[in-house]
Amino acid sequence: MKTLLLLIASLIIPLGSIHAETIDITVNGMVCSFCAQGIEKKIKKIGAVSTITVDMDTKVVTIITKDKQTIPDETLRKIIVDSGFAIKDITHRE
Amino acid sequence: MTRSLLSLCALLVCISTSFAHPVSFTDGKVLQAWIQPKRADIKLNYTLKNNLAVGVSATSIERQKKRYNFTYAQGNVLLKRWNMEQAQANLYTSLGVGGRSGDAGPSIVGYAGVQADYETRRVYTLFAADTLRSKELAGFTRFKYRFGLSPYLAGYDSVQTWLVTQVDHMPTMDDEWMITPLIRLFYKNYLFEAGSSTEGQVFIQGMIHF
Repeated sequence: MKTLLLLIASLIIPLGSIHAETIDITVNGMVCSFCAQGIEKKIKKIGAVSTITVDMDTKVVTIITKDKQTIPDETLRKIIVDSGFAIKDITHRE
Repeated sequence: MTRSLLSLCALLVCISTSFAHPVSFTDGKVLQAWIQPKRADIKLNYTLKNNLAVGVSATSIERQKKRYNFTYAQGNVLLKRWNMEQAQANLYTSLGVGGRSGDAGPSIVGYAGVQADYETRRVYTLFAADTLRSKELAGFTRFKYRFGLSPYLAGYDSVQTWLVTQVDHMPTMDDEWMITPLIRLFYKNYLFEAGSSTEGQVFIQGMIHF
């Protein structure tokens, strides 16, 4: 029984942790790319960030984290507010 | 009818957008300079928090063939911001104190200003008023109205272009009214504007935030 559990755990744990996380932040008020530079600058300072893209059409900031890392919503919320904008929605996906 | 139309136009212009947010992002620095034939300004400010920035400004003004120079420390407060899905609107106030030099001799100077702006990705409007006051001198008060349109929607990493009309009303200056069509470009954290008034006076502005 113990062997079976270990086998299941060894299969599940890597699947859940090796992938980077993709975070989509929908931002209200983001109508000017010049003004939105602060968001990118601040998010790039987070160690867990691998890449960031900003889509002015959809008003979505997309972050891909480094492997096995995530960023708490509260951290993202503070960055967006400090940058002068408001968060409409945050979604996490793998 | 004409008066109503003019009032409506004035209102639309007053609801125009921002050319420079006096408060940027927390920990952000902004260096800004603009030049007109009889007035030049340079400003450096630092945003302490998302509704408060402090900075230093230098302004040089020519009036009736005399030159006046002002240097002052300035605080900018974001009074209210409206973050909407497709727009942003802001209300700011500024206060400053410093010194005057130049043809009228040294004196303490006070600065005060207000700014309201509204912008979408297509339309930009702004109303701003500021005044520089010092002893034994009529104040330098300026009302600025802006209305701009973007001919295309630019992506985040593309050059954004705006076609803007600026109306300056400066009651104590030699040229009380000035209308300046200008082009406004920004790319990443750089902004550049250039234009020429209907009287042929050049306007240039540059800004960087970092």
